[in-house]
Amino acid sequence: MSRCKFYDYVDTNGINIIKAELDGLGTKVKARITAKLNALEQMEQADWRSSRMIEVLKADKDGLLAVIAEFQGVQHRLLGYYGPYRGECTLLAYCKERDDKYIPLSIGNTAFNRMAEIQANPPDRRIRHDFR
Amino acid sequence: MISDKEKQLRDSLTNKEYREALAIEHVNTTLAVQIRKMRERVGSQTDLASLLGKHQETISQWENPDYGRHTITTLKKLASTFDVALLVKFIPFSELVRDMLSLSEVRLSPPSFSEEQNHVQALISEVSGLVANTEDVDVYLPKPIDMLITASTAVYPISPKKTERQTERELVNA
Repeated sequence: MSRCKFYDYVDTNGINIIKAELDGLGTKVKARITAKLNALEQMEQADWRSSRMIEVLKADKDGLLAVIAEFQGVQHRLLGYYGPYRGECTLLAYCKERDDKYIPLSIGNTAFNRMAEIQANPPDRRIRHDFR
Repeated sequence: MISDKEKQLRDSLTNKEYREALAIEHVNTTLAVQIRKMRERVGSQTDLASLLGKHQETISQWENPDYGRHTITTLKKLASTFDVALLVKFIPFSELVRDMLSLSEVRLSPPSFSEEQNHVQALISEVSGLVANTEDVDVYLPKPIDMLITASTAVYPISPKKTERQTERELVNA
């Protein structure tokens, strides 16, 4: 019986990159992602995969998960990972997926680099997810 | 005391377009999760599809949080199949935020009528056992119907309540 709270990646200037990305999306897409993050936080973590709101990534993105929201034929994805501490899932980067291709293509590397930054200095490089 | 998350959700409602979208997405997400969780008690998507005379793909759509085109007729049929109540109502946005913050396991996977009854019966047996084991012979034993009502609220006061008889005795002793 464990639940997980979402955290957002913060860059070296202290900017919440995830909030900035979500604020740049259309109202409906942002609302869809927010509703999902809210529901996931209150569900058992063991239940996340069958909820069809997240996907555990494999191959070159092994170790990452994606919170997925499909809107008008486009998949919007927030890449994240479980950590840095128990009961936390930190959102690292936003991207789109179309025809099995990530846009931008290098988003996996970006996510892994950010994960390493957080792991090296958790207090300064991640903040509780902003639901505004 | 209001949590940061509640405050943030409330703050986000100032934009009309956003609050309308958030309300819709909350319903879509919650419905999809509820349908999946209740369906898992019945069996596979194919099992539910045969019960309802639908295709498995339709059930899969209903369980998709991005689908969002459930009709009230469909929801009524599902409520009947799962033996749960369907409640559709208009609410103020302040209540929406409270609803968003209270997605308990029971809310996401509501028990059927018979499951609820079994749960209440189990509680009654448990509580009756506890009460019978107390040494105080004057202990108040509520009637099953009282216990049913109390247990259905999921909170039953284990400590015995004062009965009228006890109160009278105290008055006599005084």
